[in-house]
Amino acid sequence: MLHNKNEDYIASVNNYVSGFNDNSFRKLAGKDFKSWPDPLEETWRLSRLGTLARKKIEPIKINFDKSVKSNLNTIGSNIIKFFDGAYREDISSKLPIGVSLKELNETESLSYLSKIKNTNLKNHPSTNASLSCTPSIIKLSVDKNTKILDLIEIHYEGGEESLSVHPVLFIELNENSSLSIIERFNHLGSLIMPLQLIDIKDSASLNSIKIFDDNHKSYNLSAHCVFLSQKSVLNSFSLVKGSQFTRSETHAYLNGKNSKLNLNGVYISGDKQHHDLTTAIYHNVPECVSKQSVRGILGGESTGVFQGKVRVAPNAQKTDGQQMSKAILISDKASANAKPELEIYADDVVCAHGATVGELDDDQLFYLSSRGITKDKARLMLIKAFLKDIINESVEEALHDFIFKEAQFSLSSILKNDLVV
Amino acid sequence: MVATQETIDKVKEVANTYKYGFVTELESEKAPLGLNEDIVRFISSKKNEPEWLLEWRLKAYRKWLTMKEPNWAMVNFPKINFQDIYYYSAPKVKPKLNSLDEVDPELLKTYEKLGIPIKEQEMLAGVAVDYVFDSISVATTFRDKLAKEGIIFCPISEAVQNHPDLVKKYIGSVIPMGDNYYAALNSAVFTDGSFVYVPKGVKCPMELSTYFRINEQNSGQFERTLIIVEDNSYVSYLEGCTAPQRDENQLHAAVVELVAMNDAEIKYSTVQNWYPGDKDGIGGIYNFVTKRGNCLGHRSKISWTQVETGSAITWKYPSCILRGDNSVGEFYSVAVANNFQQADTGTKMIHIGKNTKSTIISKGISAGKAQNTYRGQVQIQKNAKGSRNFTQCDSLLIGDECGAHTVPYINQHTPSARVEHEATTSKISEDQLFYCLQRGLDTEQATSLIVNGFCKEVMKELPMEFAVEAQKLIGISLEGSVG
Repeated sequence: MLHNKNEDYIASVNNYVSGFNDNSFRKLAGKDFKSWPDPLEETWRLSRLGTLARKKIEPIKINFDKSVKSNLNTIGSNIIKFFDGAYREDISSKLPIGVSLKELNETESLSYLSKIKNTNLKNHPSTNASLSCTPSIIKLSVDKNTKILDLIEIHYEGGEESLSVHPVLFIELNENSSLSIIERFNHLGSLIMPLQLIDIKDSASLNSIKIFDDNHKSYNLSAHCVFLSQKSVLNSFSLVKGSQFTRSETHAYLNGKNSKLNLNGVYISGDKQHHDLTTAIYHNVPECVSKQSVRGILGGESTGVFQGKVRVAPNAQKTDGQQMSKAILISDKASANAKPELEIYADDVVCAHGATVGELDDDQLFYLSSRGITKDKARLMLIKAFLKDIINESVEEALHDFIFKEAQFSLSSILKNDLVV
Repeated sequence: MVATQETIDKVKEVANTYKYGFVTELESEKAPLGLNEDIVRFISSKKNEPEWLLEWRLKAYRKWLTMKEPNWAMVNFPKINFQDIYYYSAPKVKPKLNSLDEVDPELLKTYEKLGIPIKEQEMLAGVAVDYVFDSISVATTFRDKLAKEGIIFCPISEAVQNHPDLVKKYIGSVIPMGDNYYAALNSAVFTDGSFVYVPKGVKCPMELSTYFRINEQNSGQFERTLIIVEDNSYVSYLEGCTAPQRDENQLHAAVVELVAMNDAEIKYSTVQNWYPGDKDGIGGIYNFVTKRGNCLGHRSKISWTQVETGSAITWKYPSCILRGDNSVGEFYSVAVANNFQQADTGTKMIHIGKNTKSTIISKGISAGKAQNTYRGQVQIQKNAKGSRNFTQCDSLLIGDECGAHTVPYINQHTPSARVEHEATTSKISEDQLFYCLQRGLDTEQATSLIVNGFCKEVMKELPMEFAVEAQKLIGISLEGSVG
C-alpha cells in the first residue's frame, strides 16, 4: 500500500507527459523521473522526502484566463510575475531596455535540458518533474555591454493544495553585462519545484537575492544551476524562512578563469520546519574564488541543514575556496546539521571551512547584562546582530533594511515561543 | 627534528623496497580456502571455544550474509572475493609455552629483522609485548609483573578459556556483531587478538604493546581486541603493524573494543605501516578496521592516537561513545598516503552524557597519486547538555596528482552544547621550503622536516618509543614524493 502511494506523484507526472512526442524535452525529462531520492543517498540523508512521497499531489493545470491577484508589495517598478508556475505577462511590468524575456521553443528547451543533464543536478526531482510539467521555460537575458541599474523583481505566487507548481527559468547575462534581481517565493501550493539555469558570460556580473517564504504546509525543492565564465561574478544571497520543508540546492560551476562566487544564506526556522541549504561548488579552472557563509537560527522543533561541497579539479591551481557555517539553537527541541565538504585534487590551493553550532556566547550575554540590559533583550540584540552581520555583508546597501525586516518578521514569530531564559 | 639524518639514512637503506618485505617460513595449519558455516565451526573448535561463542560466531556469520559492503567511502578497489581467503592459519601449535626459548626460532628471527629483539624488549622496562603472529599469539612477556597488579593481559583466545565471564559480558558490547559489514565478518571468523582487563584502582605500570604481523599468503587477518578498564584505573596500549611484501592484496578486518568505567582512562596508540603496495599501486593491504571505545562511566576518558602510513586502502574510524557524564573523547591522527594509496579515515564522537567533551585533531598528507579523506561525525544528542567539541583537520598536498578531501558531519540536537569545526587544505609553502634549503637541507630532508612539524600536534600525543618510530615512518612513506 505504502509503496504504491510513494509512486503516486511519479505516476501523475508520467501521466502528464504521456501525450507528448517521445523526443520532446518533457518526455525525456519525465522518463528520468522514476523515484524520489533514496534516504540512503548521501545528499538526501539529512532531508528525507518520505512524508512528501506519501502525499497525494499532482501537477497543476494552468488556466491563463483565470484572473489572478498578487499579495506581494513591490519595491521598485520592474516586476516579473509568475503565477501557478507560469509567467503572467498581464500582471508583469515592462522591463528596462537591454533586458528581454521570452519563452523557449522546443529546440531551445531541448538544449536547456541537455545542459542541466550534464550537471550533477541531473537527477534532482525538480529537474525532471519541473521540466516535464512546466508551462514553459522562461528566458531572461541581458544584452552585451549593458549594465542594468534598476532592480528586477521576480515574484512567484499561486499554487493550490495538493498541486505542484513548476516555474523554470533561464537567466543569461551576456558579455560584460550586469543585473540585480530579487526573487520571492510566496506560494500556497503543496509542492513547489523551481528550476533555474543561470549562465553568466565573460566579465558579466549578477547580484541575486532569493527569499523563500512559501506557506507553512508546503514543500519547496529548489534547484539552481550556475555557470560562471571568465571574470564573471555572482553574488547570491538566500533567505529561507517559509514552507514546512525547504531545500534550496545550488550547483555552481566555475568554468572561466578569475571568476568569483559569493554564495551566502540565512535560514530562520521555527515550529516543525525543515530548512536545507545545499551547495556544490566546482572549481574547474585555475584562479577562481568562492566564498560561502551560511547562518541559521533554529527555534521550536525545527531542523536546519547546511551541506556545502567545494570540489577543486586537478588543474584548478590557485583556487581560493572558503566556507563558513554558523548555527544558533534557541530551543531545546531544535537541531542543526552541517556537512561542509572539501574535495581537492590540486595542490596549490587555499581552501578552508569552518562550522560552529551552539547557543549564544555567554561572555557577550554577560557583557550586555552587566550594562543593565535584561537577558531577553540581550539575547534578542545578539541574534539580530548575528543576522545583520551577514545581511550587510551579502546584499547591496539599498536592500539592507528590506531584507532585515523580512528576516525579523520570521524571527519574532519563532522567538515568541522560544526565547529561552 | 633531530631524527632527520636518521630518516634519510633509513630512506637510503630502504631504497625502493619495502623494509619489512620478507616472508618467514613457518609450517602453518590452514583451514580450507573460503568461508561457510563449517569454517566458522572449524575455527571455533580449533580454539576449544565454548558453545556460546560458537553460537555467537554463527549468528554473526548469518548476519554478515545478509549485509552489503559499504560503498560510501572515497576508495576504489576491485571487489573482494571472500571465498578466496584462508580464514584460519596458525603457526605450528605447541602445547604450552613457558618462556621465550620455546618460541620457534624462525619467529624470533623475524622480530630481529623487524628491529624489535624480544629479549632486549624484555629488559627495556616498560613494554610488555603480546605477539600476534598470523592470528595466534605465541608469546607473552611481562605477564608476571602485570599479574601482581591483577591486570589480565593475554590473547583473547586464552581469555575465553580463563575468563569466560568477562569476555562474554563485554564482547560485542561496544561494536555489536552486526554493526557493519567488516565487523560482522570479523565477529564470525576472528582468530585472535589481545585481551586486557585492568581491575579497580590500578594504574597499569607499563605500556602494553602488541606487534601484529601478517604472514602466510592469502590469509586474512581478523584480530579482535577487547580492553576493559574498571573504575579509577588507567592503561596505555600500543599497537604497531608491519607486513611482508606480497603481490596479492590482503584483507585485514580487525575489531577493537574499549570499555572505560568511572574515572577510568584508556590511551590507545597505533602506528600502522602495513605494506602499501609498490609504487605502481600493485599489491598492498586492505585495512578495514572497526575501532570503538565506550566511555561508559562518568568522568572516563578514551584517547585514540594513530599514525597511518601503510596499507593500500585504509577504511578506519576509531570512535568514542561518550555515555558517562563528563566523559572525554580524543582523536589524534596523522594519515600519510603516497603513490596509489587510498585512505578514508576519521572518527565519530557520539555525545550522550552531560558535559562530555571531545577533541579531534586530524592531519592528512597526500603525495604521489594518493587520495586521502578525512570523514568524521560529531553528534550531540538531546541530553548531552553543556557538551563541547573541537575539530581541526588539516590537509597537506605534495604534488599535483593527489587528492585531499574532508567530509565532516555535524549533528547537534541540544542548544547548550557547542561544536566547532575547522579545516584547511594547502601545500608546503615555498617560504618554508626555501628557508630549509638555504640552510643546506635537500628537498627531501626539508619536506620531511616540514611534514613532521605539520604533524607535531599529533606526534606529541604518542608515547616516546612510538613517536620516534612514527617520525621515521613518515619520512620513509614520503620517500620519492618530491624532487
